[in-house]
Amino acid sequence: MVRPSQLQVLRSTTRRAVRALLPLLAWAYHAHAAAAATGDAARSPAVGGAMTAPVHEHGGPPSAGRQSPAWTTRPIIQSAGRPGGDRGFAALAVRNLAAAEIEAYSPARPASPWRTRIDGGVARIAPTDPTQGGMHWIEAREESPTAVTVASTLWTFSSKGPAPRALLDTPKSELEIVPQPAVNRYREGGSWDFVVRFMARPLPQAPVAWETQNGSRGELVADASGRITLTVPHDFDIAGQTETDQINRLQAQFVLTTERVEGGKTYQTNFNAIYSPDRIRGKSLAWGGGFMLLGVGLAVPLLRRKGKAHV
Amino acid sequence: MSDTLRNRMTLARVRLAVQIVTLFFTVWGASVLGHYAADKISTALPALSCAYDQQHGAYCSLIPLEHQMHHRIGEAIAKAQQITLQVIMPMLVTLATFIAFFLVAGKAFCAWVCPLGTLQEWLNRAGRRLGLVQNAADSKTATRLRPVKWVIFLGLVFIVPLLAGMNVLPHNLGNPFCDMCPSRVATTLLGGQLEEFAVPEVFGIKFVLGGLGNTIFGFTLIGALALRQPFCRICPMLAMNAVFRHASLTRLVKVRHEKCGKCGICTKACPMDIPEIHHEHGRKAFNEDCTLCGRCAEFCPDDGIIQVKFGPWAVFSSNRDYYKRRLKAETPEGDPKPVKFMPKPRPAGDAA
Repeated sequence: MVRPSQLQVLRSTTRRAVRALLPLLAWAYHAHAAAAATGDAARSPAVGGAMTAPVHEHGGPPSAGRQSPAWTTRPIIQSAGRPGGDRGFAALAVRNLAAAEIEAYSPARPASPWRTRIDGGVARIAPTDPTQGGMHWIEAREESPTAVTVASTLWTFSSKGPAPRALLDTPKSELEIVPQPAVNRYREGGSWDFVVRFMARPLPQAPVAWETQNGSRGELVADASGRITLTVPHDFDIAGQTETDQINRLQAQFVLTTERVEGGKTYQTNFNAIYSPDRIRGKSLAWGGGFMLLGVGLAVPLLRRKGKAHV
Repeated sequence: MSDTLRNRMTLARVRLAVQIVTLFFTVWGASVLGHYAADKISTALPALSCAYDQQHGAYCSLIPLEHQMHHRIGEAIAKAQQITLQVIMPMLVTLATFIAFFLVAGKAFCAWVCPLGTLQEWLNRAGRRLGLVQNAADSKTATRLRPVKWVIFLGLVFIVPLLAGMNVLPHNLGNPFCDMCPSRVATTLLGGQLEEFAVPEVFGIKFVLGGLGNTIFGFTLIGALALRQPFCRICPMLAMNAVFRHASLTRLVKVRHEKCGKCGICTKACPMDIPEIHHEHGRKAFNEDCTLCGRCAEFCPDDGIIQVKFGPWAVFSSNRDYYKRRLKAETPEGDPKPVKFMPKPRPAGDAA
């Protein structure tokens, strides 16, 4: 039998531990929320059949449909494939930019991009090697003697590919906004870093404007190393969503834009990506704690009962 | 090997070191190995991917199976599609990597790698240190509990996701076991994520499954203080590993010995309270509930009766000298010997 003094020690220790742990967990949640969502987003869609996220998530921008209007006046690249995504290729549409072709950079050979013509408003892009997938950099550009405008995004092909470190390090246009690290899907409330580069070098103090499909907007200024940190706002309207799965399936886009005038030429670059609701939205910590306490209560008799001997 | 080193190198200590490394790797590994590591590990080894641990390495093969049943097999049947290689292959890849992993490690996954198994074991050690009363399942209870893990395995990992994919059941029953898995809650909490601890606000299937998961988590947390490996006994991973245990390179081997009928220390040492390790020998002794922790071999007092083997090689073999050394540290049940720096209670008459 457990002695009352020991039980008292256990109870007070548990109480103290829980009291100490709760603020720690709350801190850890806020501190790691961005990283958590980043990790989630970085995972590819079903590879080898293994879903790495509990909802239907496919790499790349959300489906825009061939005829649907762009939600922003800034140049963006959107999926024009069937809802749920296509296997083996990406059907992409460029909005608000007069581009004749789309350029794709693979993580395996980032120095050797290939171009695909935009036909009927859509470019069908497939990896050069069907066994080499992973995260690809997709870019479209419009050029005139006085201006260069670029739209860029990331797309993940479901077959495996190397980590996109070299892909991100390789300069792809004069002015670029490069995610650090690269992710497929961002989440509300998370904070992510991007580096603004001009002529392959970080651009300090660059102003970066951002806006989301849900109507939020703002402006950031790059630090001395050209880095900005975007905190995606909580701007999904989840009213009427009754199941967390429905909430998790919501998605919207955001776009980052920066400009620089150099040698009488205006360079503008845009990077767009998708984001989803914070995974804790529609959930209750109180309910979670309540159910856990129910389990604790059910287990307490085990601490009091005399154990049975082996037979 | 020097005597001092030989005395200190027990199987239990080696396993503890492996558990610490694997717990660190699966729960916080990506933080050390780099941002893309978790993704690489999960996609390279679909048998090791917990979808809910969004930040770290992974350790489980159940969600890929649930997804295969839900999204591939079930939906394919519902739409009356031809089951082509595109449908079958992803499932085969998942299953093949699972088999490849478990062909090598076998049931050792449970006692050497599984983070929830490690946490339960450490909690039980804490409970014993605190002197809490310990419960053990007698042979009847241990035997009666066995079908539960098979029901969970077949029902919640295969049948329900399949029926959800076929539109017979709602789609939010696509991964029912993972929605109630206490390991999902435990490891994400350890990683500083509260999303999986939180339960949906609106009453529905996810609310019930999430609530059940947190209840099991709470029960496991406290129950493990007074009962060895409470959740392992109904874990579907244990069932899944059991299917392949005799094909695995790592396995438990017991030979017949005349003293075995009387002794029974092996069952006392077994954290799963398996009676067969005492009563049986040969294939039957390597029971479906075995987690290959090796404690039965460590606490077998006779030479070469119980062995943990990898292929033809005996990784560990029971040994009388080893058994005596092991007893100095703890009892077969796992009670630690009194810590030397704690003062012994004085006799009543010696108070003055």
